[in-house]
Amino acid sequence: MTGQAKRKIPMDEGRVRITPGGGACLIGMRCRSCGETVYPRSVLCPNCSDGDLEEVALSTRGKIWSYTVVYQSYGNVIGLTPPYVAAFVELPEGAYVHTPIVECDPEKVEIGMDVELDLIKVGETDEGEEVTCVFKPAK
Amino acid sequence: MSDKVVVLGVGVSKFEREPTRKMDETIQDVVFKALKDAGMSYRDIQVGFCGNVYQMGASPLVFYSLGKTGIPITRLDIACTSTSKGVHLGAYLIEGNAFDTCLVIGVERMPRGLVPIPDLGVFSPENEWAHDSLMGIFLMPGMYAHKAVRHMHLYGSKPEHFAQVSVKNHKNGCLNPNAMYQKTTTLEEVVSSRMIAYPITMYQCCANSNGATAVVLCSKEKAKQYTAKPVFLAGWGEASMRYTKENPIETYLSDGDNKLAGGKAYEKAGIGPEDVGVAQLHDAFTPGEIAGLEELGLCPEGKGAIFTWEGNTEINGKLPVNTDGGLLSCGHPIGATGGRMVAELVWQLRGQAGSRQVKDPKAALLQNSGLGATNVMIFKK
Repeated sequence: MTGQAKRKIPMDEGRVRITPGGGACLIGMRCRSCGETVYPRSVLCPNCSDGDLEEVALSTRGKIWSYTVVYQSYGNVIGLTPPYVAAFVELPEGAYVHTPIVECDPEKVEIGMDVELDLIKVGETDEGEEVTCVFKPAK
Repeated sequence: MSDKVVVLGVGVSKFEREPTRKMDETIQDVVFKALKDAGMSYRDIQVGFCGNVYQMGASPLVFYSLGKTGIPITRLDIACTSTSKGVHLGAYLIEGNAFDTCLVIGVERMPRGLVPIPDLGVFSPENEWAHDSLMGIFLMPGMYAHKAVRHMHLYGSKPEHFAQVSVKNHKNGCLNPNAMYQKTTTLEEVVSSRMIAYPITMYQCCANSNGATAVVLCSKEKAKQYTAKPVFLAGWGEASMRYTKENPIETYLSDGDNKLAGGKAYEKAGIGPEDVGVAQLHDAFTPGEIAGLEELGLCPEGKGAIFTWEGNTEINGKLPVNTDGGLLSCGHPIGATGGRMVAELVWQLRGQAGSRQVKDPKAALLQNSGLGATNVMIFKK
C-alpha cells in the first residue's frame, strides 16, 4: 500500500471530524431545547440538562479567552516540551475549547489572540495515523 | 441563624513533610485532643466520617484504632473537600435529629510532587479530564493560573498581588506550631521561585504534607451538658461545578460554584459577608484566596488582588484570612485540610488562637474547595 497517504484516525473520535480534504473540525453539540452550543461532546446539555442534542461542526477559528504557560506537567501524547501554552479558546458559536496552543511563543501569547485549528499526529497504528486537534496562532 | 449544630471539640496534628508517627498514632492523638476539648469520651460518639483520599480501605481501621462501639462509619473521598464534606453531612444528620454527636476525622498520607491524578485510563479519551490529561493541560496549578490571567486582564491586577498571598500566609504560618513551614518568605523569593504555570510560581503552590484532624459536632441540646459558650456551625452550603449560559467556565476553574455555596451558607446563618470577622479560604494556589474573597462577597468583584496587596487580609487587617498560614504554610494533606480550617476558626471565635488571635471576631467563614466541589461554612459564637 505504499504511495498512499495514511488514513487519519482521531484518538478522540467523538470530538474530531476529519474532512474530505484531509483537514479537520471539532464536533460540538447544540441543544435543541435551549439552543446552547457546547464543546466537548456531552450526553446531556450542561446548560439545561436536556438530552436532545445534535452534533454540529464548529468553527475552526477562535480567540484566546485565557491562557497559562505550563512549565511543569505530567507529560502528554502530542510531544510538547515545557514551557508550552495552554488556553481556553472561545469560538464564535459561544463554545469554549481547552487546548494546547502549538507553534506559539509563550512571551507573545495574549487574551484575544486569533487562533486556528490544526491537526497533530499522536502516533501510528496498522490502520493509519492517529491524530488529534490543537490550536495554533492564526495566519 | 441555624443554631442546632455546635462544634464542640477540635484537634489538629502537626502537619509534616515526612510522617514521624504511624497513621493510627496520629489519629489517636487528634481524636483524643478533640474529645478532651469537647469534654466527651469516645463512647459518646454516635456516628463517624473519615475524610481520606489516598488510603483506600483504611477508614474502618481508623475508627477501630480508637474503639469498637458499633457506630456507623463512612469514608469520604471528594478530593480536597473530603473532611469539610464530612462536617456538612454530620451537621445535616444532627439538624435532622438522626444523631446527637458526630466525629469527623481527616487523615492523609501524601505522595510527593504533583498530586497524582485519578486513574484516567479507565475513562475514554473523549472524557474532558482524560482528554486534557493526554494533551498535557490537566493541571491544578494551571486551572488557578487561568483564573489569575483572566483577573489580570479584566482588572489590571499584577503577578505580585497574587504572590503577596504567599508572603502573608507564610508569615502567619510562623505563628502556628502545627504548620509544616514556619518560615517567612519575601515577595522577591516568591516571584522568582521556579515557574510552574504562569503566573504561578512554586512558592504559590501548596506542598503535599501529612497530618490528621478531628472535629466533634454536637446537637445544641446535648452540648449544654458540656459547654456554656458554644461555637455554632450557623450555616453551611456546598456546590459542585455549575454551567450557566452567562458563566460557562468560571465554576470549572473554581472547582465548584463558590457563589452558590456561599449564598446557601449566608442565608442559613442569617448573616452577610460584612459580618465575617475572620476567614479561611482555599489557598492551594494563590489565586484561590483572591477568588474566594470576591466570589464570597468579602470584597468587591475585581478588588481581591489589590485588597490583599494593601494588607487588608493580614492578621491585624480589616478581614484576616488564613491566620494559621493556610495550605501554603501548613501543606495539604488532602483529606485533612478541611478539619484544620474548622479548628482554626473555632479557636479564633473562642479567643484561643494565641499569637494569631484576631480581635474579637463575631462570625467566621470557611471555604474549602477541591476537584469538582466547594464547601462553605459560617461559624458564630
